[in-house]
Amino acid sequence: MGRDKWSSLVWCGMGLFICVGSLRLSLGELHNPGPGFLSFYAGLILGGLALVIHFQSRKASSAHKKTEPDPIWKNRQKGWKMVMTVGALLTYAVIMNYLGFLISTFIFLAFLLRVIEPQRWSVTLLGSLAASAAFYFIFEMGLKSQLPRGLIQIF
Amino acid sequence: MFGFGELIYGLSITLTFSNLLYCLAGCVIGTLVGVLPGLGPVAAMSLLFPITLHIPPVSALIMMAGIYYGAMYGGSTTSILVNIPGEAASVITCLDGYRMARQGRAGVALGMSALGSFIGGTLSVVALQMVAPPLAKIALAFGFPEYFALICCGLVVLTFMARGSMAKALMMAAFGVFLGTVGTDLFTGVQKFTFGIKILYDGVGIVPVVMGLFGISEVLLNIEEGLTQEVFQTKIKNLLPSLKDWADSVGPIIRGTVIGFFLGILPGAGPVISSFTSYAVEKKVSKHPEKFGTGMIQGVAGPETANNAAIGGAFVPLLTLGIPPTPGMALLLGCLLSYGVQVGPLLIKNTPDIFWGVVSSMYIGNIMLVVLNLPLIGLWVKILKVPYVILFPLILLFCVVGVYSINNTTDEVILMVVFGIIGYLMKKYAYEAAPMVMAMILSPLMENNLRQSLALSHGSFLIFFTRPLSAILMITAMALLILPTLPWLRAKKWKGLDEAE
Repeated sequence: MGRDKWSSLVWCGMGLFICVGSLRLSLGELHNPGPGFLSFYAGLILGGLALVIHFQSRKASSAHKKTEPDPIWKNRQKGWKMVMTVGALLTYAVIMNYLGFLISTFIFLAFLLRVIEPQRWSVTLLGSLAASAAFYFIFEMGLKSQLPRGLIQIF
Repeated sequence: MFGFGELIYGLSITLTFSNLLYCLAGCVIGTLVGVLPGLGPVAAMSLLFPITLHIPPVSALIMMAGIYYGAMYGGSTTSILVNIPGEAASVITCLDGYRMARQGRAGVALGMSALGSFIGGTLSVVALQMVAPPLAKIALAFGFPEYFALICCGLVVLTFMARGSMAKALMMAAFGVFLGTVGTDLFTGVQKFTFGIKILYDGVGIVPVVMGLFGISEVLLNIEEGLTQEVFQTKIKNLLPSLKDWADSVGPIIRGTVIGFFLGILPGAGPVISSFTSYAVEKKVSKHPEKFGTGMIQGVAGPETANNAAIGGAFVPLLTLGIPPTPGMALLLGCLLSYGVQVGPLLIKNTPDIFWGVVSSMYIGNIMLVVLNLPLIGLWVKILKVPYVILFPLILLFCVVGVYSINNTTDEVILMVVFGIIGYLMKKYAYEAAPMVMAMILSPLMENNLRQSLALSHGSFLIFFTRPLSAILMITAMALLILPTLPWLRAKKWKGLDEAE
């Protein structure tokens, strides 16, 4: 319940943002609804319900005299691993355009295998190489997907 | 028999070499993703979405459907042997299935689960074949108000069926409706919430959202909660259940089929709720409810039958009304739309090859799956022993490559990661992703029908209440919104299922 207090505020903010954005787009008339018509009511429902949950949660936590929400991660170290995985995914998506599919995939897999759940170097390097090559052959050669070739324009 | 001639026509489509191969590929991939925890059927279907664009629509649908019902077979293997559900619809099988494995009856549990799935899956296809064509004829009378009312009612049912708070599910549905409105306005050409980002001009892509919410978020959660899994070491023997096992399971299988098929038709219920409901019903009708959770075969046979029967049910609204009741079905809809197939009441009439091809492929697919899941069970157990630390980088890579291949842009990969983070946080804060995805997919259809209805009625909302069918649907939706606020019902709503859990 403690967590709902904060998450509902985020959704409430989102609802407000949608409503303001929809008003800017124009709601139109009832006989000729504008582009912001449906999204405005969606934002209104989202924001309104988020407020209800927020107040319910406040009421519940004050009844239990609970001020601090439960921590989001049970294990901080593993939580950081999750954050690093997200970082790796985003970096991978960005560098793929510059380094091409094969090189960036090799780096991405090596990072996950070595840093997130450490494996031996031999497993990391051979595994990353084999998986990158396998994906390249399946998707580029087999399924004719146009995987990024990067600045070098080789792979 | 009703539809027999058409079924023969369907079989003539399915029984070609290429379609049999696609059906087998779907069943194998489905079983594989069902067996592997962390990659569900929806993520797998999203992954193969780009590939389906290069093959004929019937073949694509046969393969995608195979993945969907194949995953229901595979999911039980992991539940029984590892005590971790391979996918959400097999959660409840862990309770008695794993206990049976510990008692040395893993083979019987796996066997009954596969045979129950086969019976439920096949009977639900028979029901689909009988129910869909007459329903499509009725749906021909639907106009803009009826469609809008139907979507509203569907979304409300979806939130009503949500496991957690209905208010949260409604919020997610509202957010999904908003996401569905993003893109270029069809009536005015105005850009709605695109912020100059090119990939949003055609709307938020279904595949990056689904892959993020169901694939990436699951991996992130697994990384945080630990990557170890232990396969219960046992020799799998006696896969065929004894006469006593059959006697104990006949009732649960019949009830599971009925529950699964009818709940499968409802938006949002799908295989997950069907399996939970079946378990709750079996516990209720049993003479020994206290023994549930200790290795009762009824607790495996019922839910496993129900989750397969639900797939047949879920095809009914998709193929007759063009309205998908689950995210998996929404991907099938996306697949049909990408081919320019007219989805709705005219689908069966205009494209009978698709309807009867898919229906007949489901008969064949269920037979393939029994073969894949009984004699070849050892293969899946071996796959289960691959450590998750090796699997998760591959799952992530599959997601990235799958999303990239749709439009050859890394922007959609970033969008997928963003939705992965959103999905992870939603799971942490107990917000359900299914209402959001469903609403997002139905939103453009909803907006179009709402605006057309209001234009038709010169701005009067009464149009939704003056036409009988839309009035019934709207009143049902309103009643479902009010019902949970009644205290006695709120207490009662999920009592049975909570007991099951």
